[in-house]
Amino acid sequence: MLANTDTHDTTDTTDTDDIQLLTQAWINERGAPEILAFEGQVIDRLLELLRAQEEHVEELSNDDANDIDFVRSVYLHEADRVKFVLQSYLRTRLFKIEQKTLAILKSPEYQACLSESELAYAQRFNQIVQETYEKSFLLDSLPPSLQSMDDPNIVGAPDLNQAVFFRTKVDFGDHLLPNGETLDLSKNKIYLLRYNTIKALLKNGAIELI
Amino acid sequence: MSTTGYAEEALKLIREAKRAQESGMFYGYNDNGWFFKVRVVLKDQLNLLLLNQPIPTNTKCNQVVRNVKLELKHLYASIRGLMGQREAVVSQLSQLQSAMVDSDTQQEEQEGDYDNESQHTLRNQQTQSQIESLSTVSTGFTVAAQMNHWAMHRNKRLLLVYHRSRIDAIRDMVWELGGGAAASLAEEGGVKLNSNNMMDVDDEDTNDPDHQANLNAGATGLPASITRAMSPPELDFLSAYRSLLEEYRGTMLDIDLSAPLVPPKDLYVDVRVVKEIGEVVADSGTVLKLMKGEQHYVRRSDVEKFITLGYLVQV
Repeated sequence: MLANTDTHDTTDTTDTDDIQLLTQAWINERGAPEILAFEGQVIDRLLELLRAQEEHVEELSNDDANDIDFVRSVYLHEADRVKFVLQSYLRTRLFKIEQKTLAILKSPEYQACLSESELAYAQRFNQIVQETYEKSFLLDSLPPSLQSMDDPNIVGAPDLNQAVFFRTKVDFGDHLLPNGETLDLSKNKIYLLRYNTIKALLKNGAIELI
Repeated sequence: MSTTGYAEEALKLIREAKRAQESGMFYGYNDNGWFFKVRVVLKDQLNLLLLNQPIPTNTKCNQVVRNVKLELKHLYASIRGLMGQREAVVSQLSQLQSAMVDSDTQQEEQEGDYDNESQHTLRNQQTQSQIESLSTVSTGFTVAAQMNHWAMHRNKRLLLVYHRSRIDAIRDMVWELGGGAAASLAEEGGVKLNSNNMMDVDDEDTNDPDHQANLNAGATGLPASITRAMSPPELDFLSAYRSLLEEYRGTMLDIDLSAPLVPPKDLYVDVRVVKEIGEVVADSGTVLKLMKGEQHYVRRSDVEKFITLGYLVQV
C-alpha cells in the first residue's frame, strides 16, 4: 500500500506535507477497526490547492508549446491521485459509519470524530435502517418490550481486539502489554499488536498503521 | 410450519442470507408473493450483467418471514398464558401459606389438647407437601416462560440479521451502479436515462414483460428485475438511501465519490461507445460527441460515470 502512495513524494507543486498527512490518515483509517478523527483541515487545504492547481493548468493550456503539454499532464496526474486517495478515504469512513452506526451514535467520543456532514449521514442512515426494520417486522410482530435496539449484541461495537500492523515513528523503550509483559518498541520498526494496546499511541501520532 | 418451534424457521432466513452472500445472488424477499430470484453477476466491477431467472422456489420456503412472525405471536401468547397460570399457582400458594400460619396461631391458643395437636401436625404436613409441589409447578412455569422469551429474542436477532444482510446487498448494488449518479447525470447532460438501457445486455429483448417496468425504473436507479425482488419497506429504503447519498455528495462537490474505486493509472483512456449518448459537456469543459460504435481517446475523469453506467467500454 505504501509503495503505491510513495509516488506522492515526487511532487513539488502541491503541499507534500498535506498529501502525506492525508495518505497516512487514509491508511490508518483503513487499518483501524474503529472510526478515527476526521482530518477536516487537511482536506480543506488540499481541496483549496486542487482548485488553485486546476486554474493553473487551465492557464497552461492556453499556451500550446509541446513541453508545456508534458508539465500539464504531470499536474493532472497528481490531481487525479490526490482525488483518488480523498475519495477512498471518505468512502472508507462512510462504510465504517454504515457498519457501526449504532455504536457511533451511542458514543459521544466517536461522534466527535465525525465531520458535520458525516454525523448527519450517520443519523439519517440509522433512521432509514430503523424504519425498514420497523416496517418489515419490528412493530407488527414483537411486543413493545422487545422492540428496543439497545441490546449490546445488536449495537455491535467495533472489535478493538483486532490485531494491526504498525510502524513506530519514535523510540518508546519498554511498552507495557495487557498481559503484564513489556515489549521494547524502537523507532522505525514494524510490529503486530492488538489495536487497543496501541490505540493511544496512534492518536498521538507516534505510530502509523501500515 | 410448527407453532412450537424455537427459532428453527428463522434459521432458514440466515441460511438464505449466507447463500446469497456467497453466490452474489439477490433473492426475492422471503414472504408471500415473491417467488423468483435474481442473479447478479459482478463483471469487471463496473458492468452489471443481469440475468432475470424466474425460478419457482419451494412455496413453503418463500413465506419464511411470515412464518417467523407467526411463531413470534405464538411464543408471545404462550408466555402470557404461562405467566397467567403461574399467577394462579402463586396466589393458591400464598393462600395455603397464610392458612398454615392461621392454624398455627390457633393451635398455640388451644395448647394441651393432644388429640387436636396430632391432627394439626398431620394437616400441617399435608399443607407443607402441597406447598412444595405448587412451588415446583410455579418454577416450571417460570422456566417455560423464560425459554419462550429467549426464543423470541433469538427470532428477533435472526430477523435483524436477515433484513440487514439485504440492506447491505441493496447498498452494494447502489454503489456498484455509481451511487445514484444516474439521476444527477440525467440533469447535467440532458441524457435520457433508463435502467433498461443502462444495464440489460440484450437490448433487443423488447418482448420481455419486464421491459415496460424497466423503463419506469429510472427513479430507483436499479433495474426492475431487482426492485421486483424487494419488499415495499426495502424499496422505501432504496429511495431514502439514494437521496441520502445525494445529500452527502452535495457537501463534497470537488470529489466524485461514486466513481469506481480504482487507483488512477492513465490520464487518458481509449473507450468504445456501446450505447449512444450524443453530445455532452464534460467536467473539464470539453464537449464530447459520443455516438454508438465510435472509439475515442478521452480524459478518464470525463467519462468515468459513463463507464460505470455501461455506456462506454474501456478498450
